[in-house]
Amino acid sequence: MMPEFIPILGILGLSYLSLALFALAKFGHFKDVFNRPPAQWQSRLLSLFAWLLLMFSLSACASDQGWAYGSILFMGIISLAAMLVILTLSYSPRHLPIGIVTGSVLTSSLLLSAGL
Amino acid sequence: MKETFFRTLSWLHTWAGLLVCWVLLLIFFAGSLSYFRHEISLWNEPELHQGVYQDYQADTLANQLDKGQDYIAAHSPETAQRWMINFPSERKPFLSFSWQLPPEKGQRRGKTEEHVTLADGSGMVSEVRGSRGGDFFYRLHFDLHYMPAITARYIVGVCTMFMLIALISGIVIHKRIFKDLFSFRRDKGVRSWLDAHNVSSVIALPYHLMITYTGLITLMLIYIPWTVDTAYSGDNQAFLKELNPARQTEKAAGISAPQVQLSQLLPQVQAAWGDAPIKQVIVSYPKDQNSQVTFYQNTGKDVTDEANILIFNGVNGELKYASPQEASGVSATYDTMMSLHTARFAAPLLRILFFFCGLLGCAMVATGTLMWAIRLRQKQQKEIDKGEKPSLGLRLVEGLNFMFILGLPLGAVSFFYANRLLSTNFAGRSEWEVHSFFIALVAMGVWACFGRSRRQWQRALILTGTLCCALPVLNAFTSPSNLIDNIQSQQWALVGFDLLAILLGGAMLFASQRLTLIAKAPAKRPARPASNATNAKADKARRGEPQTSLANELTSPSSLEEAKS
Amino acid sequence: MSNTPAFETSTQSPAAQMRSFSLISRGIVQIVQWFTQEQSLFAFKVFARASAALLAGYIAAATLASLLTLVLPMPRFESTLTANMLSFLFYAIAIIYAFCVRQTWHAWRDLGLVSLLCFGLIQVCGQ
Repeated sequence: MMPEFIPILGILGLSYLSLALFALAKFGHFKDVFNRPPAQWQSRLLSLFAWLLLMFSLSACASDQGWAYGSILFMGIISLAAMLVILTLSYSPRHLPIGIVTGSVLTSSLLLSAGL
Repeated sequence: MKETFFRTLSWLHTWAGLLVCWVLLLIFFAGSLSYFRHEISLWNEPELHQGVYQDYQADTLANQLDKGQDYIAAHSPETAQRWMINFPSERKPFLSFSWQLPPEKGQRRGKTEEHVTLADGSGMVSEVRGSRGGDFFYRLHFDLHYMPAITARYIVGVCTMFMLIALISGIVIHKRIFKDLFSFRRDKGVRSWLDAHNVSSVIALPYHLMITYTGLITLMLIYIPWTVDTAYSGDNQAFLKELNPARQTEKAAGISAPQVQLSQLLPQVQAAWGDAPIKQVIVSYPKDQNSQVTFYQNTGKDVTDEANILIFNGVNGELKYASPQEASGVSATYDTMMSLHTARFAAPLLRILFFFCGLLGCAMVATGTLMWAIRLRQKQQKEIDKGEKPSLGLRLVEGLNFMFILGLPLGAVSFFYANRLLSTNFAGRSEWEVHSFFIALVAMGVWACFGRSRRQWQRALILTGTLCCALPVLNAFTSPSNLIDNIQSQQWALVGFDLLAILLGGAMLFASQRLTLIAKAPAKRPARPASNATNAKADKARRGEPQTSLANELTSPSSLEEAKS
Repeated sequence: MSNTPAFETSTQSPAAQMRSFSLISRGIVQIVQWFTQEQSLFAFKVFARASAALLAGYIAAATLASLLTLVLPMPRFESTLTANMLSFLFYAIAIIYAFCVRQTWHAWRDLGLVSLLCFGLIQVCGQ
């Protein structure tokens, strides 16, 4: 079970990252986290990166488990990651950057395991 | 119906939701638990917690088949209609032999008796306590209870249709669906409940739509049978044959014939399936001329609900039928939709995610109905302050909320306590485990008649949460292996059950602490000024009282944030 | 207004007949007044639309699905499955239509017409 665990954890981190960026692209949440409103280009860039990471997350699921099982797994992971982002934003918005860093670390574990 | 399309759908969303929300809570709750149907059944049979756990071993199949056939032939009654040999799988990690007796009067299917082998081969566990286990929750979510199955399925079908309408109308009326995707403003009264309702619906929206629609599809031939009548000009049997070509239409001939040795069929099975694991072997009408042997493949992670089977003649071992490898697009779609609902293919990680989404479905329904209760109380607050009784509608909604939102978890917990505490000797024990579920539910209903204030909610949550957290302790005392033993012997299903019990119990205790809810206002109370925004100190003093007016709850500042409406 | 009934069964005096007739007409006027109150009118409209949605919508969806089994260019097994799987979508659309259409009686009219049309076509296609 251990080897199966790591890629999924990485995909979860990647999804959290992607959804956190989606959230930051929105006016209200950016303001809560960084104390200033986002510029138009910042919002767009965050949105773009969020979509790219989301697509990457879906393809990681599919390559790990096949397209049928993988896309279902992807939907489940997105729901969980969305819940985590919402809880972070609601209870301590300032900690979202820490969440983003954690997500990046987990993502790199995914990439490492894929490399192995 | 109302002035605008939007308002009409808003009205429709509210009423489609409200009329069936409590039944939907039951369906979602029982359905979510049935994702762990086999794990719950295993936990409910502590006789199987030690010495029985084993993995699937491809090289001992022939041995196991012989052993099984000999054992069943020796121990089963002559009247047994089916013999079953169940190989270990990921979710049922034991080898068992069972047989099914013919149905008694009024029953559709006969009773099954299952004997489980000990992993070291030293014997069999034949005295397992009678318990429906996870199958109770599985059946509950579409066959309900205390009523004929067909009535229950129609009721569930109507509720599911209402749910579908509520989902569609909810999506249309939620204009800010993308803008508010991540918004959850806490401690803001009704707005927080609305946010919680939106969050629990939207983050699992594909799941909710899928589970609702596929739920209708699983029973579609009951709900709309006339398509078959029209297409097949009344010849329903022809349709059923095409739907399930392996369906055995011949009955027992009554003429006895020698039973083929099952292990002799293995080479043919392996020729067709290669290394694919076998899940089960069923012999129907054993020792009869018309007997058949069916091998079921363990389809693992394939997103399919169709059984991959090989059927042999039970007397001479001739291959009669093999599952087709290709299916038409429509058949594949139907199969996928059925499998998405049952999620049989899900490995543990994905299964937990499905369960999580199911719980979000419960949260969606519960937050919706709680929000409605708060809004109703808000509307009637002025009259209630003047001393009038709350309306029947309000009392009904609050009472049903209390009964179902608290009663369903308490019922499940009582089911497990009854499983361990009822004596193993008496025959009706599996029925009484079920009764205890409903007794707890009704008890909460009775409690609701006497008090539904925040204090009562807290007490009920503390009661249920504590009992739930204590389930691993109950297990330790009433089962041969406790949580530590299970971790050491890697029986992850049992470990998972105990850990989930602690997690959900903990969540309930956490919720009891963070409660800001409707309070039942007393019948006689001096009128209170309507706006309390300035009476911060007075509010804090009043918050110590068990029963506070809702208007205060909604407008008073919490200790952490400033009041900002 | 004639007091003599068509058949001589009544033994009441003309005055008694007048009184009972005026009671009945007053009762009718009261019922009509209650009925045209806004609340009752709304309740009636809801009942009309809900029954159209649930009953007529169900029949419309079922007949449309049955028609599809004959019309779809697939073997009858596939067309049955397809039609049955789509039928709930039709039912959902019918329910939403019944509540959103402008005039209340249109809900019954339109869903009834769809049902009749599909039923008629089934009879035609079935030959």
